[in-house]
Amino acid sequence: MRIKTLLRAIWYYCFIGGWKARTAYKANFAANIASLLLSVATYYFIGYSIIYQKGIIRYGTDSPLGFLLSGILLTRIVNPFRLYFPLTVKDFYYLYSRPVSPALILLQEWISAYIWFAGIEIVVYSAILASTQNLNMRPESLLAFITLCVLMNIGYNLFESGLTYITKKKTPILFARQAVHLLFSGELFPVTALPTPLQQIAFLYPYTWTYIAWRKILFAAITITDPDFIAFTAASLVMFLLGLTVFKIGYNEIYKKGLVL
Amino acid sequence: MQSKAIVVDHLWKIYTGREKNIVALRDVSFSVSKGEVVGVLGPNGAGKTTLCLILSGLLEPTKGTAYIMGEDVKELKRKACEKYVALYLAEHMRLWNAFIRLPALKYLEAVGAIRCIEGDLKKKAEEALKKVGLWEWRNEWPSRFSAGMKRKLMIAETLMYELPILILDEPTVHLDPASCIEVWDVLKELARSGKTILLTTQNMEEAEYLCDRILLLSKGNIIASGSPHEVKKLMKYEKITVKVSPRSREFVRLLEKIEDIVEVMQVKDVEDGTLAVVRSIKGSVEPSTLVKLAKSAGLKVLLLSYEELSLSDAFRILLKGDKNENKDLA
Repeated sequence: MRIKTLLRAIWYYCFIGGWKARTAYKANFAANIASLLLSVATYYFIGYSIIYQKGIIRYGTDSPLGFLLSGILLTRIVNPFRLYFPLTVKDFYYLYSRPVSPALILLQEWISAYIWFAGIEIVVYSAILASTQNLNMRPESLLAFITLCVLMNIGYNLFESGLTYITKKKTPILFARQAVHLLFSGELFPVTALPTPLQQIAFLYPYTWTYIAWRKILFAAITITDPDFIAFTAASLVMFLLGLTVFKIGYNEIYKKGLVL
Repeated sequence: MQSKAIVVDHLWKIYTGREKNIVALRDVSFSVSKGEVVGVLGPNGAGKTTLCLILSGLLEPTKGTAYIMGEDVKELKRKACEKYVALYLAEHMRLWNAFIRLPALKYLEAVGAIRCIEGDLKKKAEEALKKVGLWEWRNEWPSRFSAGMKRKLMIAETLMYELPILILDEPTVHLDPASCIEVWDVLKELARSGKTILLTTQNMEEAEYLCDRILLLSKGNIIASGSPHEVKKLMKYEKITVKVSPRSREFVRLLEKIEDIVEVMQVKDVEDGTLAVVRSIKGSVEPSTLVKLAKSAGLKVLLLSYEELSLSDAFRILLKGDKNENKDLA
């Protein structure tokens, strides 16, 4: 291959095609810029919190490794609900055109995701967590947590799907979900590492309470009457009801207006 | 109405957008008898999928309504899908993820179990697999099937649901010709067994092969309807193929000057001359006229044939002109 051809190809890939692909849609362009800022912020707060172990104790552990592994484990556990929740615009008719309850179709998507993808990751992370950390938990609290966590995830995804049906905008909603989750959930760094105004926002985000309750169940053996667990229960129920309501509005919107525009 | 599986009554669908509204269906009326196979033909954006979705209760009509087995779809909503209509949207359908690594026979049994079908599920799954011609592959995983085989399995799946009406939206889109023919044979077999089928397609050959009756849809209007033969007869035109020697484009210009020749559809220089296909008003252009014309230009006619327009030609002509004229032959 001639050098000139190679240079021309690189020029087209990097500048003409690449730049056009990134700027063709306003939403994509904004998402690219925002994700850059977001990743910088995330790594800053991870580093900041781990170096000083800032706020980890709020989650019932003083081990940065335990904090990080438990966060990643919970994310892997709920991922099948979040990533394999095909109630987005594209999958609407896939779910609703069959003479079977959409809930059953969703259930098979989740189970398949656990069997084929998430299951192995969960086992690996659980094994590492159990072998490296001093876990101290109550089975009844764990059971109650898993039940409520499923409820919250269903509610959260119904909320997101409903919002997509109403606005017919998938990319901005998907990005907003990922951005908010990364920054405010406490999955990778404690929310107490955030500046105070952002902390206040974080405590309004339902997943914040999920991660607090989850870690305190694993490391501090909290019961279901613990204030953090009660806050998590309330957040789950509110999220579920809100999700159902928004989804119902979204479904009616699609029924009336269709998916064409 | 009892003998009718589907009745569409002055149906309108207008999609409202921020900048403009799109009329997807414009005062559409027709009916489908039980056991009939009706094809809805139309180009992209004609309103075919919109019609399928309304008939399945997944989309609200703006005006007018439709009845499925005598029940109003506006009342039924999604229950239309649960009670009467097996809807197959080629662009949106996927196999059940949880069962794609089961043998095909077990896949269908599992689907039947989830639908709570009563009776001997295994027997029903066997029958469905035989009907779609996948019996030989009953022990294979659907995840390993070709695209055509997956389509056939999905049609078998809709059979397992035991619903009286089958609505198929472009069932053979993106399939290779061999797979298309396989799917057509399955649908032909289903039609013979008395299933009511409404299918949308852009493929004239498919419509001609499968349908008792076709509806030509363009920009939300039914521009013609009838059996494939009737739609072709609807045309007052015929196709004349004429080959002259030696090669001559001048002859084509002379043809265009004949008043009853509506259009020159095709001109091709072949090895021993020039071949022209023209559309003319039926019976108006005599063979002797064309021979004389060729002679006057110093040419010899090697081939002259008259034939009926194909459904594809008829469709193209109907779309081009007479747009607002509803020609109902049914």
